[in-house]
Amino acid sequence: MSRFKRGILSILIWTVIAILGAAGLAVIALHRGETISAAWLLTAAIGTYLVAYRFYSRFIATKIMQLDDNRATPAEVINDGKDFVPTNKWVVYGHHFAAIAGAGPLVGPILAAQMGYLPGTLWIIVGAVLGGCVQDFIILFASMRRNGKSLGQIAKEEIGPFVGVLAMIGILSIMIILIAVLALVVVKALAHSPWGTFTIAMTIPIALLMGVYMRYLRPGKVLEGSLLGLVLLLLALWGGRYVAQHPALSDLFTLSGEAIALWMIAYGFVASVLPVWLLLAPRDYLSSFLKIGTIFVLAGAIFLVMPEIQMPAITKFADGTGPVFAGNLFPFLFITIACGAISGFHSLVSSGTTPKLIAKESHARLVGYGGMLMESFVAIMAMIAATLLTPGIYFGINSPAAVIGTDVVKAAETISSWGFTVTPEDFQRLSEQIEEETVLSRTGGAPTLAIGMAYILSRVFGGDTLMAFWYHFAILFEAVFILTTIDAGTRIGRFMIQDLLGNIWPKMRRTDWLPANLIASALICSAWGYFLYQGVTDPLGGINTLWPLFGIANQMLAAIALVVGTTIVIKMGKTRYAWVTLVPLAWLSVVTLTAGFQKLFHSSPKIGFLAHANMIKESLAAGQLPAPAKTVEEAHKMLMNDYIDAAVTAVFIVIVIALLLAAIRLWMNIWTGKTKPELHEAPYVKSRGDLSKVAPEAKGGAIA
Amino acid sequence: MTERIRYTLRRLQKNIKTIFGMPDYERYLAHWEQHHKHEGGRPMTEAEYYRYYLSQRYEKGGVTRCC
Repeated sequence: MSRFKRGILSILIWTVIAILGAAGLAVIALHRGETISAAWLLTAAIGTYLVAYRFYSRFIATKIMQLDDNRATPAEVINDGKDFVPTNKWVVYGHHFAAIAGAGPLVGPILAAQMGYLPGTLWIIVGAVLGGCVQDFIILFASMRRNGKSLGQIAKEEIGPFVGVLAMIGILSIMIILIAVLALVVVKALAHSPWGTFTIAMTIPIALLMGVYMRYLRPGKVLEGSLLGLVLLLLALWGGRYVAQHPALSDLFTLSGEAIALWMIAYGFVASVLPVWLLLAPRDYLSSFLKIGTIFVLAGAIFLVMPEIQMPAITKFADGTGPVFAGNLFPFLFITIACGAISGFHSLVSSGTTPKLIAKESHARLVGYGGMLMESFVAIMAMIAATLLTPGIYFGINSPAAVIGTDVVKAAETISSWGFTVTPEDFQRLSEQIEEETVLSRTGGAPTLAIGMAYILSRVFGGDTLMAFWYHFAILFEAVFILTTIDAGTRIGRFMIQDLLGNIWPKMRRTDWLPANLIASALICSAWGYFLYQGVTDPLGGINTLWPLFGIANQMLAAIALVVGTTIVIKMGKTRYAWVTLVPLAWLSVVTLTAGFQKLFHSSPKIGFLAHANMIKESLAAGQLPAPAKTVEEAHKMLMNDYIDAAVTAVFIVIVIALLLAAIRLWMNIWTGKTKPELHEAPYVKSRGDLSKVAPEAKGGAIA
Repeated sequence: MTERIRYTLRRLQKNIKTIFGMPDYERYLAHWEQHHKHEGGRPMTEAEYYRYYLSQRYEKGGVTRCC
């Protein structure tokens, strides 16, 4: 085909894709019928992703970054055969996606569904293409030009040590809140569920067995070990049903939320202290396989089933009166859905293992921008899974017991009075189908996703008879990789604390010194354990309080990443394109600060921590006990929780403001010529070609 | 034909290992042959490499699993 013809064809194809994407967006925005096919959400999302990737990411790659394939990447220059390895771009894409995908994009959209499918879906799509993808891409680029340095180091070098310290505090605090909130999601999913608890408990001996297998029995045979682990995991899932039906065993594995929380804290401590080959690494392998496999299966099933969305486009709870989380659509929708639209946490991965694998600079576009598009798509799938349930069922699962009660008749009555018709039999039937004690007030997002997933997957494989199996499979899938985040996060937190304490007492830095290990592990576990336990005992379900804190923390980290990105863009002399990072930065700053101030000072005790604290104080002063507290001590504990939550929020607000001030000062100085814009890139080395294409053993087929 | 299938399978295994950040002993051996053989000594055994890789990758908390 001639070049001219190809050009015409390309214009035609992209016009069609753009029209499809726009049509999808128009349909989901304007449709006001009973139900709408998930196909429209998928069309809107995929159409927008393709257009954004083709045009916007290319604009960023050529106009701002000027990606240069003649310049050697760190993988080529350092090429140590271990971390720095020039790798095929699709393999790096897989690596990056496997590292960024987690529970965040699955939980956020489910909570946000209380406002209807439309606000969340639009934010997931638009937030990703203009914010999240840009952030991931630019941090990946920055790290790739600096021999794979971390976000904290880049912030220190490009902006100053002060911002480096802010980034460090930010990362440690987000880690604590993140672990607590994810652990809470698992606790909520496993409480009073013997099948789920047994299966998840079994993952620990399975991981230990894999660890021993890969270290002693068949040293280094990681794929064999993982396969063995996966088979055992499915057996445990199968066995869970018998445990749940067996009277004595089922009692043993029926645990209260508090008990599971304490077990998880103990587990986190042990996992942080034990050698990595025994527990951490095998778990990481197990959960990575399960995660990626399930995401693919789910995507395939959604395309096959094409469920109808039952949730209205916008519900009356967009005004902030919903039972799932408190607060108005602005700013709280944008806090609730962090991952999936924009997630600051990704900047840690983009400046972690990924930049060390990239073979050619131009690959960063697919990996950085494209990787986040895939994550955004995962969030769309979660949104579909939540909204294919009838709204009555959705609110039954996601409303705290304090609002709808614990009895199906009462709950059905309350929810129907909101205008979402549902009968007690609906709840009864669903809990029988998934073989759980109850589906009421199973907050935290995981059970909702699991029921939605079970619905879709059982339509493809097994029908109603396998519904309970798929439900528990979905719970297993979420719980396993959340536990891996807890393992890995606790360990990272432990090293950060050791590093911090090392400033006062240098011996604390030594990672091979057992007392340092134990002290730092205990500190990090009690920090997240405190928030977890507070969440479990919270009468409103805890997610109400903790999820917004996590959202604010994550968006704060994204703001740090975007400040770093903007600074680099300006220093590269591309100030006229700085809007690319400034627009999402401005939006995130407004959202985080507004949400932060409302969490602190809002007059409604449902939203503002201080208003809630005042309410408790007033009722104590009047000689009464505030709502769920049964003793004065409990009331004082609630008061204490409010103050700690308020203090944490205040820290986040201060970090964002200090960060913005420091950055604006630097940008003004560069603008007026006071500061010379000095980039700290690694020196230019000429590339010898794409080394990922000439694998040594490929030559001559010499296969040992 | 079987040669081709074997080659494809090996490529697949390699790629899976890279995607999930698992140790790849053959990659290490190839690297050692190319860059360290002239220094003398012997390469690590598969068991030694496994332990070394895991401690390098996880011990310092280097693995970030996202939310």
